[in-house]
Amino acid sequence: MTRRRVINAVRALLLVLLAVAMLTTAGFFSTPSIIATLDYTSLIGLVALGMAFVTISGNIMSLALSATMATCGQVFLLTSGLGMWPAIAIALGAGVVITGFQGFIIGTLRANPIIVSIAAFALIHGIVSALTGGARAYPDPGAEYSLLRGRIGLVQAPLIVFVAGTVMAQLVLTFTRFGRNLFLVGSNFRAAEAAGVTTWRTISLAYCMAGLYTGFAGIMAAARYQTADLELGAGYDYEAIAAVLIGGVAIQGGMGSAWRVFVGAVVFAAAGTLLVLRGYSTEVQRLLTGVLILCVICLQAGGDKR
Amino acid sequence: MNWARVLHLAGAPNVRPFVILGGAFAAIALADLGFGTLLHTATMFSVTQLFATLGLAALGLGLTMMVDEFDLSIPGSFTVAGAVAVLTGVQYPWLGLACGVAAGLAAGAIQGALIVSLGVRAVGLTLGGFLTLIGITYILTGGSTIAYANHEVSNWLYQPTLFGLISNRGVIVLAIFLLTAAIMFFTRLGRDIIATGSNRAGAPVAGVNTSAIIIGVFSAAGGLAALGGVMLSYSLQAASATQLSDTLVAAASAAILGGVSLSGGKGSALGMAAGVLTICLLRSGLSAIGAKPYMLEIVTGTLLLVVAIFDAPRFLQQVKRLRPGRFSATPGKN
Repeated sequence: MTRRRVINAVRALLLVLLAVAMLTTAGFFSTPSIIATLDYTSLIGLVALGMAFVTISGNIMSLALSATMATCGQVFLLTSGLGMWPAIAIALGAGVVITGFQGFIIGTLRANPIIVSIAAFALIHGIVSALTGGARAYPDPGAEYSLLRGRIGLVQAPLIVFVAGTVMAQLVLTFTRFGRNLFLVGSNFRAAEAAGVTTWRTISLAYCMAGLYTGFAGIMAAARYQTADLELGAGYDYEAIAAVLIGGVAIQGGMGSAWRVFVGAVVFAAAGTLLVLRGYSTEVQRLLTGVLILCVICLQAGGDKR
Repeated sequence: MNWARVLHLAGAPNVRPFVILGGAFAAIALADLGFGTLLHTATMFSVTQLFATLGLAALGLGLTMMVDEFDLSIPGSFTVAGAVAVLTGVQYPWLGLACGVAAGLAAGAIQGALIVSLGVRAVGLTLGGFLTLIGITYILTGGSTIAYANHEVSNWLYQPTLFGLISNRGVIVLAIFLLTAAIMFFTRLGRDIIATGSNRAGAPVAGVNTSAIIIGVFSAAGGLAALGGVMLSYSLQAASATQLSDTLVAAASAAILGGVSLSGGKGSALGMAAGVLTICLLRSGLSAIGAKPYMLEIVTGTLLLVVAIFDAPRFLQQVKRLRPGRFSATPGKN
């Protein structure tokens, strides 16, 4: 297992480098920078937690979570006149239904998850544009949801949701039968079937969880920006899978934890802030996201070989 | 049940693309009844122009799907090649073409080599490749649209030919489809690709060098997408990183509608050409008869979803379970 050691060494080295960069970059520990980083971490992290359920279930990733996030944000704002909690419930329900439906198709028919998610992306964009006429969603004038925009010191509402979400996801993964089945289905589908796991139910539930977490991200983002359109979560699919992989969740499924996703999201967001503070353009950030994913996947694959 | 069997046969991969193409044409013609916009030369020209734009990216993606992989980096090669060609090819278009295609070939070859040597699945790796290539394009173009000032090239590529139905660019793309079809049908290479896609562990026993095939297919896919990107940028006289960001949805839909099986080992270049034409017909046809833009997304998404369901390994098994009076957990609409 020397390879495993190499990987751990690389991980430690990268974390040290990141820490050094944080300490030597002027302004990283300033209040605005920290608030911005934590805010970004929370939104990316919530989608990443959702993505992790898909990844762990052995279905690689979904390319439709960004569109789902945007839809949930719009649903939340459009129903905000009903009161905060009903609006939250309806928006989360929308996320669970949209993503759960894909999970159902993937789980029962073993349809290709990437293609189903691409189709879902196009369908969500088409149907939402048809329903809204392409207009941006704004909150109801009398809507009250300042709780979602609240902040205690440096701790903002999205961060609280993200931390609570991480704990909940970890509890689900560790202590429920669904969690144990999920790892089994993800690591060895046929063994899971032979062991009597109702695989379609496990996969559907994994996608429902993905929709739930993505819904939270959409609601928090919509509450923050006070408006939402289909571009709300643009690019989050890629950033979320980057956070998932950086945290060390295995791309081939069957392995991972919510803690890892948490660390991945923090590292990814912090690296992004560092690049901005050091004056690199968004173009360089995109390039780095890609290179990071490539490196992580190559490292993971290297670690799997004995 | 008999109807399940019929459904399955109608959806046989080698028949399906042409059935769907005919169906799409009939459906749009029906919606167009009395206006005659669909059969206008201008509409047909816009269909073949779109075919020229999407065709090679779809062909490249389809080839990787034939070997049971999925190359998410296709739009990346497409975009980066356009930018490279615009930057290097103002004076010597051939040089720009060579540089652009070389960039795509290199991107494909590197990813193919990594897939083979590390034994990873392509989806995750090419996701990184895609973002890297788009990042490179952003840096090359400085995040904006860069112009290409050689009008002669773009005029020639746009030149309508064959009764004004297709441009020179479209003819080149069509020729490449025919060439690929010939290679797939007549050479050992074609059979080796199918063998690799059908059973990667077993193919080496039959003397197939699967590693070489995979690296070759990914290189070809990158190179094809790059050629498409270069010709589009030359034709539009511009390149940008956001150009055709929806290439992946269109290319994937086209390849799958074209009869490429998601589980590998099936598909033909001619079927894929029909698949690309279907997508183009839907796009241009729907806008020609005045449908709203979202209709296109709904139609494309539904088609892609339906084909993904038809193609799913357990589709037939679940349909058989759907007998009257027996509760089953399958989607009822099939």
